[in-house]
Amino acid sequence: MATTVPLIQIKDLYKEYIGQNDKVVALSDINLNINKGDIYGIIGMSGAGKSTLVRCINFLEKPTRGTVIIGDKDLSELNETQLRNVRQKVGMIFQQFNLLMQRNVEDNICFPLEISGMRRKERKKRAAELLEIVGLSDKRLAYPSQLSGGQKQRVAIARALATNPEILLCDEATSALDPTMTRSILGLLKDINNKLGITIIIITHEMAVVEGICDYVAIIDEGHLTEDGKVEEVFSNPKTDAARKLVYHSNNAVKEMTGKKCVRIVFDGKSSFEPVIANMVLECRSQVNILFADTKNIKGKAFGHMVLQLPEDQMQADKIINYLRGKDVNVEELIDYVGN
Amino acid sequence: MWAIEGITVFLSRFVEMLNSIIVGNSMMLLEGTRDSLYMTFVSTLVSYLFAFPIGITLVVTKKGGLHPMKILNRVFDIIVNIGRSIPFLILMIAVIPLTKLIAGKSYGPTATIVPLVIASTPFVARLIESSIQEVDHGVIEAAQSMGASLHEIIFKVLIPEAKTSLIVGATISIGTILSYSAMAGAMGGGGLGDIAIRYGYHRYQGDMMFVTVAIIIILMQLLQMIGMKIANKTDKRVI
Repeated sequence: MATTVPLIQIKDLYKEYIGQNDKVVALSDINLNINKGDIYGIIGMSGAGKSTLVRCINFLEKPTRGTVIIGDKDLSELNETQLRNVRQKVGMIFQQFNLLMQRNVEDNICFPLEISGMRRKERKKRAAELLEIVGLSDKRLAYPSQLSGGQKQRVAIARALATNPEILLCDEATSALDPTMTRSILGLLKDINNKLGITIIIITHEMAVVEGICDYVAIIDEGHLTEDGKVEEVFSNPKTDAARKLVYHSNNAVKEMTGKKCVRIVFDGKSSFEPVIANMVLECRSQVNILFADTKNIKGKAFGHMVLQLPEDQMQADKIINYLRGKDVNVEELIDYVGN
Repeated sequence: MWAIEGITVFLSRFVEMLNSIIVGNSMMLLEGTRDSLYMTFVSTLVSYLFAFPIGITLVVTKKGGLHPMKILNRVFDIIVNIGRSIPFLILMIAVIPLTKLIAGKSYGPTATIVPLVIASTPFVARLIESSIQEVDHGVIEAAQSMGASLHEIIFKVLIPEAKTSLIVGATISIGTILSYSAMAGAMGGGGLGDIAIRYGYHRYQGDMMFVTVAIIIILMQLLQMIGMKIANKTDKRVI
């Protein structure tokens, strides 16, 4: 198999900020290859350096050392004018949308086209096409202040796509949006990636965003790249502490259960398709320990029994028992099962 | 009862007095108003011509700005501060030679425009600086990410996005320049201030002074009202 040259190569990137009397290392030793057509997630806690990293990709922030190569252009070797030309081919959207508040939707989308020197008539035509793509044709003459957050981000996406970029950088693009809006924006990004083949880099602190649409993910922690690879691989088998912290939210091992109270639950032909125990844990928000289980699935019906160790807290335990009884499962309390 | 009657009599006498002053001096008051407005508007316009580049330079060359230039920024900053520190009347006297050079004489409305411009330019430059500074950094960053040049950012982002604040600033400037122009009356500057000083102060005609001051107040109110109306009408941030 022939190895293709990655579209974006980040090489030995190092960025520090010099303060009054100290220096802060924002990024160090970042190496990353991103292939054409990928949706690449870069995830990290706030302050990890991910926003600096995305700004280094289009050289809005100049790295202290190291470089970024886009296609065949080494950005560290370009002068200001050449850099501006590269940036016209790299779209960017932001958490706060950053639309021009005194321009209407159409003129916002036309803005990058004005910079690239397109004629007025063609600009308008292109803006109409883009509004079609993001589904806002009826808002052409509206001002940003008249739009919802999700609509503003759609305008920002249209604006970022105006110059037919090969790459779209998304800096926390969904962080200011509610879950529904987030899904719809992610859907739009996926769509754009499919239809236009644009490489998308998504900076986020939300796992759901990466799981939702990314093919690859890089985890960044305190300025270091700790892990990268296919999303399934990294998330199913996080190797570093930073990755585990993100994937499991907390790095703490589950505390040993000390409760003495146990219950036996008997399945006698109820539907096996309802995940009773999982639902119970989610609904009651407390943990149980399965001490014994012998269940079978026979033609879609569950048979058998299971012994659960309940939490010590009486209220939590009662809540679980009542939940199970409410589900028509046979529950039998066992005293002193543990330690037998 | 007698009190109300007294007030009524006083008011009617007062109105009568104003009436006779206004009718008796209508030509002079009209000319004064015209001269005051002429000085104010021309001075404001010329000040903006000078102040715009200065204000924008102050923002752009600032530390952390779009094009930091430490020394140039410091020089502009100091010049603006000096300009704002000199009391207007003193400045007016100090620049008489320059005024004569430009306007041919040192008195009258046209000549007064010279010191008015010199006095208001630093002030206007500061107002422009603060308006431009209000523009959201994120929007500037977005423009940079699209490959906009410094020139494009100034003319397509900074100025249009600061529009409302700039108009409010212009309203404040016009008001301040109007009051400066009245002050110039003390030096034979022409306009309403001149009339107030000559009649009200030198000839002890308090009523005449009252009328001219009232006209200045009305002008100020009108300018302020119109300015704010335009600012609100053109602001697209409010629905």
